[in-house]
Amino acid sequence: MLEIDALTAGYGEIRVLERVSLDVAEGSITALVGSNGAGKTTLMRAVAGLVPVSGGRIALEGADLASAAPSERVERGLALVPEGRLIFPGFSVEENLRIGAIAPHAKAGRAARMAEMYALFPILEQRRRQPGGTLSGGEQQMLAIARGLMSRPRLLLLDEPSLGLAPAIAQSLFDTIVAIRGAGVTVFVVEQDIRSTLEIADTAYVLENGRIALSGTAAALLQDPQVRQAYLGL
Amino acid sequence: MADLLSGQLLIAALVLAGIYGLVALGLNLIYGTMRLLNVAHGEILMLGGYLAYWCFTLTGVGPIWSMFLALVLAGGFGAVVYRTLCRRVLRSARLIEQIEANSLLVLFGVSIILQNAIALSFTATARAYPYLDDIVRIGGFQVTADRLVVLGIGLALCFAVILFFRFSGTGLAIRALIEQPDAAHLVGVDVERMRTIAFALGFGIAGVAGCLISMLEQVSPFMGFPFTIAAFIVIILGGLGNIAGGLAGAAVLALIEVYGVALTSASMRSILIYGVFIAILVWRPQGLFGRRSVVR
Repeated sequence: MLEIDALTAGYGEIRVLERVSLDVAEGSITALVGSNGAGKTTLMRAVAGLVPVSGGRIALEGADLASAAPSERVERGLALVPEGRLIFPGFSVEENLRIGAIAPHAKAGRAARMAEMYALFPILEQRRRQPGGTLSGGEQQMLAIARGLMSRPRLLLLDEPSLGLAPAIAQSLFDTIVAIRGAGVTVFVVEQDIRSTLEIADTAYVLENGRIALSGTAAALLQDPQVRQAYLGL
Repeated sequence: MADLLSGQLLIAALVLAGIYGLVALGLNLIYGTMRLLNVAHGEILMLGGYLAYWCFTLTGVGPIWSMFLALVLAGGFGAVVYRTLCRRVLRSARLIEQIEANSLLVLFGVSIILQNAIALSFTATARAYPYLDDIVRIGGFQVTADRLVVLGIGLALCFAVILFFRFSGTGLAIRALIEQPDAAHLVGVDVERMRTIAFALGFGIAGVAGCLISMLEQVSPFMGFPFTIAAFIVIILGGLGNIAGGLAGAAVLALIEVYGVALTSASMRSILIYGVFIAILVWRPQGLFGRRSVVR
């Protein structure tokens, strides 16, 4: 689905990612974990086209994304739910969902998809006329995910979806991620809650200082002594 | 003091509010979506004024019709200015402050060139044409028909723009770009296209405003600058990037200007306007209606 090959990227002179390679298989939940500052968010933003790439290749379903503007990447079926959510605070919940379907291919069936989103997150329907900025953190995260799904993505990128959420809400969020994959959307997730993420993921990569340090099936990484010691505190 | 309650003053204030609202709208759109300070905005209005003047003088076509031509021509000019000049400013700047400073210089240049090009072509003489200047009586007061027409068109256009931003997909996308540029990229807003539309719409509306003003005032190559200043004050009053707030800001500034001048004298006009400008910057830099913006 998504192939990243020897990707090098950063901001100005600062290189954040050093020849990172990874694959996200169609229909999978693939996780990228690592400590703060490892470069996870930079990788996500590079895939979405918000950070310039200085070397390597990013391909979606075999097609190179190098020259594609962010809006073209959405058009090709990629959606990023960014770290910090970045919902539109002055827009109503419903307007946030409408703008989620602004890409030309997403216009058809918009009303039906909005109804699906309200079924997936009933609290959003209750709050549909409220400005997005007045929602709680958990509700804003739901809104950000729903907005991403409104563009009819085949690949959904989630950047730190559980950040700042209460544990019970975070847990239901992981259940939601499983449900989204169940609906046929491939999920690539970056998380700092490494245990919960490895429990729902199929494949996982560990990013350290801009390089892939470890990779394998999520189940194997959960058992890996190095991961257990460095990231799970066991 | 009885004069203050007269219909004439109220109409004058409303007419001015409508014009300020239109001029500020375009400035606000362009600043809100791109952080470009379009100091040439008043010159677009001036070009609209000349277009209306020549259309009427040479062919007898009134500003009610030539304003459609102004909308299209000024709008097209806006798209060209964006594609040729402003896109480079956006690409070369790394910080928002650089965008503001660089665009100020580039567009100041555009403003001077336009003023002098028009002065060279048509001389610096102020020009006017007689149009719809018969007096209409409504209730107890009298008003010239042109003012009523300007008021009606101005209000209708403001209303249309509000509806456009509230309900159309393009309007929603432009608002998204104003509110949260990063997220607008992410959800798939075609940013280049929206920026071009914002420029075309902003310039087009300024051109129409110029046609309307030419019905009431003389046109001259240097008529634009006071409107640029007024428009900046209006959008600071209403909150930068806040479209509806800008219209309210226009009403506030027009009321202060018209009633302030009536209470004192015409020579106080500039003092009043700049006084409001400075007072707002000092006490409510987030605008009359804005929340205090988060410093990032």
